[in-house]
Amino acid sequence: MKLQETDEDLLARIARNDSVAVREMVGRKLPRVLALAVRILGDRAEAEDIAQETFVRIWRQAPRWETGRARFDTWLYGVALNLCRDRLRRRRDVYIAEPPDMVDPGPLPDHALDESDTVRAVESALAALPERQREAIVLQYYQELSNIDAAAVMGISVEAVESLLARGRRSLRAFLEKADVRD
Amino acid sequence: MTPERFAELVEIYGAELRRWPEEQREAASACMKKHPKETARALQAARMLDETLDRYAVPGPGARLTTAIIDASPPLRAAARRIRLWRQGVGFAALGLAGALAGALAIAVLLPMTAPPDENGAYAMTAFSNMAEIVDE
Repeated sequence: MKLQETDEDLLARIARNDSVAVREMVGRKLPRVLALAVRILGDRAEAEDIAQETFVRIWRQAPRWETGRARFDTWLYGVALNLCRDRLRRRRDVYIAEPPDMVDPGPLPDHALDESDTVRAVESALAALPERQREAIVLQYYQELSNIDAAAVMGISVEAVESLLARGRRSLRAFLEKADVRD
Repeated sequence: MTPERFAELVEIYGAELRRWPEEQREAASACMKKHPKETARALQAARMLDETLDRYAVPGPGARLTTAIIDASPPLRAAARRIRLWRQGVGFAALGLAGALAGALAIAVLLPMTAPPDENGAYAMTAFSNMAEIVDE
């Protein structure tokens, strides 16, 4: 059985201008980076921008990567998360400068035709969470990071992550019960 | 692990033990065996939430996004630059060849017009126009 090459090995090959390694890295990381950004931002187009910018950072970092200093995934999700935070901050600034006429957290009608009520309810429930709780849920639950890795990505302690997770799950349950989402 | 601590961890990490901290899983499994009723009750609500959250799947990246990211990488940009330079080289070569051909064609077309087939006249315009005189001498 062929062992999968480590992320660090791929980075070293990318630094040597290996286009096959580039494709391998994109295939390996893009789906998870995109999923993280979509769930944090709740907007596919913005999430795609974030994914592109995250990979620009990877290409820049490849020649400078020092093996053993940090786990690549922790660094990668940290970059993506910070870019999402910047985007959310800008979005808030725009809202403060120009308050929207009408707040409609639901998706557009043509989207609604393709998505189940449950999926939309979960999207809305996640979007309604305070930012840090949403980050903790996305990293630990959806990205399946360990509590230690989630804490490292968020730059907080494991205890703080656990507190955010517990509060986040309680809020999600309450929101979904209110929306009458059942299995 | 006590059933109370088990319930606390369910509130944090959900019903799937694979999402729990690795060092807690064994104790959690033992607690489930020892206190099946209490642990089952704690797991039930968490499992419902987990199953609902699982339905929010994000579709994978499309070909357009994947290609844009790959094309923006240094190895692909370097390759694109090499191809561009090669094409420019071929373009310059073609341009030079076309210029030479055009020049040759122009000479072929224009010369007979500027130099009519007048034997004497043509002869007079050459460096040997005074050849007859030289021979005579």
